[in-house]
Amino acid sequence: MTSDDELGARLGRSIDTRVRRVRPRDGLEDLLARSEERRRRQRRRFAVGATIAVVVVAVGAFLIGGATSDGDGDTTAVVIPRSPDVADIYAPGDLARAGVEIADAYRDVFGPAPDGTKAAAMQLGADLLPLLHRSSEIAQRFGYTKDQLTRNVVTVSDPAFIDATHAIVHFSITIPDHGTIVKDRVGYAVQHDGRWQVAARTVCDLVWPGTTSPACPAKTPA
Amino acid sequence: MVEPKRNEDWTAADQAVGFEASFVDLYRELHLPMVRLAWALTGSETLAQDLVQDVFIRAHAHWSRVEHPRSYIRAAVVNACRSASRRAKRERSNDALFVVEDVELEADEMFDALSSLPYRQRAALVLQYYEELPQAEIAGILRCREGTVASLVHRGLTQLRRVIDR
Repeated sequence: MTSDDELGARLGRSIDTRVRRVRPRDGLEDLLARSEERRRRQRRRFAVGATIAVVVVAVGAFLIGGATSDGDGDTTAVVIPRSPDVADIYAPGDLARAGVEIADAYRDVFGPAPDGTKAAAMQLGADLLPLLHRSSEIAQRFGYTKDQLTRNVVTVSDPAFIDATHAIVHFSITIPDHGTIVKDRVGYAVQHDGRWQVAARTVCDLVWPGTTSPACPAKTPA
Repeated sequence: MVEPKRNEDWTAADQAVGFEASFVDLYRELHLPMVRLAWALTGSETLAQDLVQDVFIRAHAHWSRVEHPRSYIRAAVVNACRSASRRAKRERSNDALFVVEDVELEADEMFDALSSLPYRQRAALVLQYYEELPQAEIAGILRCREGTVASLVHRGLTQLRRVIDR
């Protein structure tokens, strides 16, 4: 019987004999062309990814404040009275009270508040709560600190009532020492069981680019 | 065509201070020996050519960050062959782990006997007896301990004996 070394040497020679027959294939041009195409694809993917990341950061940044804090003393909700010359044919009887309740709902959802309060302040709250948590995690991965994001200021303005249970507002979210991350954006509110809530559509529209929830988009009401 | 260097020279060249070989230079130097290595590991010249080309394309994308290009390319080729073997194993209904093609009547039985070995045994044998690498370097490529390499080589040779004695 041959030793391991002899058998190994024989194997090496056998392999060498076989693979020496390799037919040289000058693929350098093909390689460089495919490599350049690969780089172009990577650049395209990077551009798309960067765009999505920017949207996710912007959305997640203002959501994290609400999703990670139990306090409610730092956020300011400001209601700017609507123009008196706009008639709301189907407006609720107590406009001032409705406006305050809508602003409170926006503050609870996008500002610091316990999970239960958040869920109660938005339409389909139980379904959308995981969406807020997910956005919070994403924002933290992008470097926003809890302290930085729990001092956000939610401003609600120009409530206009579509009917007695549906309203349109404009809202902005500003993070102190960081800037306004959502500026004068249109949002919706709905009244359910006598309570004004942030419409699921508004939450989904903001966080959909980077996160998913069973409540979005199929169950998003108008 | 540049005559391929032996393995000891590759490692030494990689570690040399001021090593600035261009990608094209390295491609011309390494392409043929890497195809041969891949052929030995896969049993298919065509597959070997494709795998090595893919390895160089991926390497080209981040060439400036590759510190030891020769060692890097070789390890990448071994890994690519392992992945190909896994794919072949999944896709084939028989037990063959090895893609044997162009089997000629005069083909050396030792080479074909490699087809019966599991990939890691095959790779250990090829790297030790064809590439003539030290076991420490083989361990690095196969991501295992030197003792494991010795075991793979021993079991591979034992299996080879059984095959060629049949």
